[in-house]
Amino acid sequence: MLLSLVLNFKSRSTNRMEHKICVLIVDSVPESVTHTQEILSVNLLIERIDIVEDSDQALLKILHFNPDIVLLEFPSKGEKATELLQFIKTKFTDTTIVFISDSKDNAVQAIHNGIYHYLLKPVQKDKLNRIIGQVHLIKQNSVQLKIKQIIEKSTEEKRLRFHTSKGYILIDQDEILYCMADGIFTEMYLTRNRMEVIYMFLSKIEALVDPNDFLRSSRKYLINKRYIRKVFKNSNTILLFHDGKEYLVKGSKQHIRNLTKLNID
Amino acid sequence: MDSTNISAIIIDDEPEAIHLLEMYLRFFPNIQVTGKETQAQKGLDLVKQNLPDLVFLDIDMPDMNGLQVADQIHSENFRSEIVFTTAHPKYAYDAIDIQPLDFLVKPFCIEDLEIVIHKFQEKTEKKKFSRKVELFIQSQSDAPKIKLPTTNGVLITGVKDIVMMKSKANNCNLYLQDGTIETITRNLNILAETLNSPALFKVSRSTFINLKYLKRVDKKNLKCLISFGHNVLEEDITKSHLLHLEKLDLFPTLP
Repeated sequence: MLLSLVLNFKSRSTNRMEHKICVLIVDSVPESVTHTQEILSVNLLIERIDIVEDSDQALLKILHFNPDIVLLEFPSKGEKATELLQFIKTKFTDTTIVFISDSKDNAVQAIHNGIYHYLLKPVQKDKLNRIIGQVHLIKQNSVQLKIKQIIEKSTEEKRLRFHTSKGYILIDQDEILYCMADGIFTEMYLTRNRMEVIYMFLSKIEALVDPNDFLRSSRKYLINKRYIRKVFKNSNTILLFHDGKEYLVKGSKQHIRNLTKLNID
Repeated sequence: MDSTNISAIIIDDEPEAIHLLEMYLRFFPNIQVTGKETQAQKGLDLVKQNLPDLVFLDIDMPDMNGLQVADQIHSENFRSEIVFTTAHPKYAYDAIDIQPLDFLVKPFCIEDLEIVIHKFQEKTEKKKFSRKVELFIQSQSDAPKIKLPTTNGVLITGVKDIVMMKSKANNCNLYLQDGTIETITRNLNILAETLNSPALFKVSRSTFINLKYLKRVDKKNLKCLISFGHNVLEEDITKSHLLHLEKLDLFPTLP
């Protein structure tokens, strides 16, 4: 739920495609496998489906491709059924195990093993898809992913080069509050009360900064989304706020409409 | 085994079952049975008052089913872990959605309880660690901002700028770090659920505070002091929420 509500400046559709789900089916009954596979194959969140018959083969598969979900027939065939459960739970802690069973009789064992997904055969489409959705959301929000993003961001060179009358200045784009077009020049309003006249068209600056962080709110203004504090519908204005100071800029009706569109409900 | 004290409440309609479990639990010196009850509803009230770490819960009870009790415990967001104790394994399938810590089928033995306690300790450690990781990530990255509806447009803010959220009829007042107060045209609980941050803590039915700004807790008068910039706010905290806060064990202290 949170993901859909948070104002995520990155393209959500791109992220969605990046974190697809890999599933391993461990099932000895061919009809059951075919049925589950049919459900999975039409789910757009699924990237890969592997199938094995028993727990012994499953161990090798898991080592090779680290699935996000293991659909595990329970009780499973093979000599290493108990080891398989312990192996996944201790070594592949991000993998979600789903018991699939002919009866409800193994539910106690599922709880003992800390497994809270239990599907009865034949697997119901909506129930399986719900689990896939949950795992997908967890994957998008995973700690590893967040840490990777922090590391990538911290090692990048963030300064950009902008031409001025005497040469150029190097500025981290986070320092830019907003830019205002002035013919072939652009007035760049920066943090700490600074202003620079840049010898570039506003459109060139727009092309240089990260499109996820900046918004061309009208023909005249390019604003840093990080500093948007309020958006006023009636006056079509956007209030930027930094270090106790407020800056009011105009926005086109279309942008104001988009900015005031809520995803909270 | 970790020696941290674990509080437990037993709810079972059979007094003999309670007695036996209590006897077993005496083998674990760090477990303290803080309450026992033979009636489900009264047991639920006991859980609300005491917020135990563990609830040993029978399922087949005359006045209220143990699954319903567990549902209510979870719906009110109590942090107590549920361990079902029942003679009927048939209930396990329905219990899965509740995600209990364990499901013990009567008659069970001391070794089963040893596993339960070990699982509890492991889970508690895991929860503490993930909370720390989550807070670390939040401190390192640009916290995502959220659009919140106001009477004349939207307010765009992040959790770190929110000092306190107070319910005001169907709306909600946001006290921001810069000293301003903004009215959000949404209900407090929806807002808290949307922001979904471990930093926001409920101190009463109508107020959430950001723990980042918490400076002092007056246990005697049930007040908490929040300080930001040059501003200081004093807020009421209810007894049960104070208990919650202490159970979170967020701030290091001497025993």
